[in-house]
Amino acid sequence: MATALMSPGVVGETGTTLARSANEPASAPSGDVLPRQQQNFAVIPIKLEGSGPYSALPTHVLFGALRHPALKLREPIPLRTERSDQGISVIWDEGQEFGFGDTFTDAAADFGETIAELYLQLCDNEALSDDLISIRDRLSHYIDVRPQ
Amino acid sequence: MSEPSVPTLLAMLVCDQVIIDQQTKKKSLIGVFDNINAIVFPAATNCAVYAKLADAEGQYKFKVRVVNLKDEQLLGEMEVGATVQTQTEPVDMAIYLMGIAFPTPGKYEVQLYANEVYLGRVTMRAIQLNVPGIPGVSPWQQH
Repeated sequence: MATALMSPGVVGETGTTLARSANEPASAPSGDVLPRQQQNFAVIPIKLEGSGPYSALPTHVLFGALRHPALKLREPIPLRTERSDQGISVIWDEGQEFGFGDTFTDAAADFGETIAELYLQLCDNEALSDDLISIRDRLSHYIDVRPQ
Repeated sequence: MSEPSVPTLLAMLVCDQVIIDQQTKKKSLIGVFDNINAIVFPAATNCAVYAKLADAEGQYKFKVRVVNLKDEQLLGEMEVGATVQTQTEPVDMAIYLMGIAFPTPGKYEVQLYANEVYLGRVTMRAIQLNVPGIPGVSPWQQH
């Protein structure tokens, strides 16, 4: 049976390094010995109940994979998925937008790029039809501009 | 209590091992890879998944799924709970997946969810090694 090991604390603070003064000459490591390290992992069984096979394609999914440096999500966007012969679609019914790809994650990535581009275009444009204003308002419910 | 914020996945990598220095909390990723070479399938391997997240604050149930991209079949899934105190600093995590079996050559994915919200993925490829000579036997076993 497959298992997973988690490091203690599961999700932890990122590392910190100690910088020397810029005026100090660079030197070789002092030879200090690292403190004794621990190896106390939590073992978690990897689940697969029954005998399968199991589809990893969800019928509905909450989208949180917006990858844009200027934008962040206020809350996840509810999507439904559809499989066809050509590939997989993720559909945001409320905003009538979708993403498409060979796999679910490709479709989700396509959807993320689509809505980020659309949101920025709608925010930049003052002269919008009522429909586009409605879409912008719906997107604003989920998307926020990341503070600089 | 308010809903936890939606984390942003900054980086996700698969490697052989993540060494965590207990004093500085620095993570050293050893043997970052994309491809898994195997002579015979199904092939099982151990790997570590490293993820760095921003914008996280609150209580989360993180879920890691290993998926065969050929048919979107789920190979394995694990869940773990965690509390992130502050949104101002990024956090990172290291998970060791042991004994995951890859049934055939092809593309596979490790997907990360937080509270059922899909955050992102890392893709890897399982490759059949063709060894001249005896099928299914590695060159170093032939001598």
